[in-house]
Amino acid sequence: MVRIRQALLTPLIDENPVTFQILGICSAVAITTSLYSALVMSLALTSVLAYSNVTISLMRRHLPRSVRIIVQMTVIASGVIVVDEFLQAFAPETARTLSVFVGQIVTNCIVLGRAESFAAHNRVGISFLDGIGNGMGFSLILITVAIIRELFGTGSLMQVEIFKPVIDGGWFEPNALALLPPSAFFIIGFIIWGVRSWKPKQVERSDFQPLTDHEMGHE
Amino acid sequence: MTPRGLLGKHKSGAGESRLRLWVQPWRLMLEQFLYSSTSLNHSAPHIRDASSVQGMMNNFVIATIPCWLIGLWNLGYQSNLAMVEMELTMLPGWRAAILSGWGIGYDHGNVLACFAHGLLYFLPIFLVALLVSSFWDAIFSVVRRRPLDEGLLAFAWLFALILPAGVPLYLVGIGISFGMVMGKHIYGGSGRYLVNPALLGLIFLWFAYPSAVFGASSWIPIPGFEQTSALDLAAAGGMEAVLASGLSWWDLFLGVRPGPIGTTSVLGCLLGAVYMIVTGTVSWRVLCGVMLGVVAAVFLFNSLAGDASEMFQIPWTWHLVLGGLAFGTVFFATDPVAGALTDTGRWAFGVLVGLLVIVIRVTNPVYNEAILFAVFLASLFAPVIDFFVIELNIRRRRRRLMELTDG
Repeated sequence: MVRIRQALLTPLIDENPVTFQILGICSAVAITTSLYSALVMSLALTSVLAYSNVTISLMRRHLPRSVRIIVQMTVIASGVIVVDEFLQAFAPETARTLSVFVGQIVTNCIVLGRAESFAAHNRVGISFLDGIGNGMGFSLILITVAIIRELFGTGSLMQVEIFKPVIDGGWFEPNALALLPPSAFFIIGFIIWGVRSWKPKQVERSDFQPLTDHEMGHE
Repeated sequence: MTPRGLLGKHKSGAGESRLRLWVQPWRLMLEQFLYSSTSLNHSAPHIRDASSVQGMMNNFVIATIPCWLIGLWNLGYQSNLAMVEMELTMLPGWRAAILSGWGIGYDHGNVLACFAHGLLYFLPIFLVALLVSSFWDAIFSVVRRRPLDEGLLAFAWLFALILPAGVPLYLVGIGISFGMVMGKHIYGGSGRYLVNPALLGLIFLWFAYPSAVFGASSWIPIPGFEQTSALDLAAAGGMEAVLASGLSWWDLFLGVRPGPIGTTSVLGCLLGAVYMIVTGTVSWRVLCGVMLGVVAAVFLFNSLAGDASEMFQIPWTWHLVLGGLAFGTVFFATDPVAGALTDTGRWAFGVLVGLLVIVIRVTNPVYNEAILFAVFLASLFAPVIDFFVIELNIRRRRRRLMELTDG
């Protein structure tokens, strides 16, 4: 029971793949200009992650170490192709705008990272939950960033107007920077700042530690 | 999570009252401002000099005073001229109440009236910038238990000078907040930042709110009046468009043209540059480097000209007075923290700024206020430049030592 909770919940904040491990930043920057594409991307990545974790966990005892990365990549790539085909069949509009980024899930470090560090050493059930948990951790950041960017960049969320822009006679001046990729870096940076102040355990040791008074020999 | 934990480490002081905590940084700043030592000491190991970080920052403010005076007069002059052109005799709002109520009027021939009119646009912008940056500085200094940041006045002042007069005041607050927090405090304050915070604030506004801050109606803040800056004219139609608008080279040099509040006068910038070089605040090498880079790049583009773009054919004498190049060169490229710190590095840094200004200005008609981006990019390269200068110096001395020991 504890392990299940751990697999599902620690990737949300304590070991969040984006804010703690700083993985998957590329897609977090690329597709967070609108909440809708962030939601689609979150679903796509979570399903690929769960599927690849299960598959790799299933074959973990039969996988020679020397070729494991290639096999893992093949498994992940086939999952991504299925998701891409699914989107093209049932949501062609979305698939057209997102297709490049869905294809790039193959290179998303989170998927390979979980396969390599978790699924390759653990049983099927817990690997599946780990995939879902990490997918949710990724989705949490993606959706947060997308809400901030779309709201401040356009004044509306999912076609629903929340702030009335100046051009339509309202008061809100859209922030064009929010629609440019650098803003995602700023927002993710602020989120990391907040999380690490809340949980100082996540802060890395600095590269250079000044000597303390004790180490220098005077108390 | 305590708010203090959010902003940085602190040591817990026992029995310190909360009031004292908030008052302390301000008291220290005032003390620094009023009681700085003037005694000198010329022998090692303790060097004592009258100059301080605070004094250096104040020198930046003092050096901008010619720009500020000419800029405010120019702003009032352009506004009063615009009123004549639009046949307005009154303005709406509180500025009119002061100008008419105190009998100052809107005569564009009257220097004082023009200055007063300009001052009424400058003051709110400056006060908002100062208040908002004081707010951030106070929070960070209380949390980190340090004295208030030395650059407080200088950055707010510089930021107000490089904004157009028609900027909405809440955007001034947002811009300076971004500059102060993202540009200064996350690195630890003045002396540690990568890019000048005021410059970063302006670049943020440039990308985030291009039409609201830098639209055609923001240079001269008379409602309904639109005028493009000389640089936009040059980007659209080259030299002919600038000359057709009635601006002469001397207008640009003296600063009689629409533009950001304090950056229009090249003459003012020159006076400021002389003051800062004489007081030792900045290095002349950066300034010469920028000139060199600009002139070299312009000659290159002139020789490539053909029919490609009007902007290619503008001579270097005009490039030097167009846009905010002079102001940015004198007050931002010379930044004592973000720029290169070695003498050779300063030359390289300056030349890099000069080259980038012309390359961006000539080839990118949208972001044509290129000095901002040039200084920004060059600042990021400054540590690398210094690294190579120092490495080369070490290598040269090592070789010399080898020669001496071998021979």
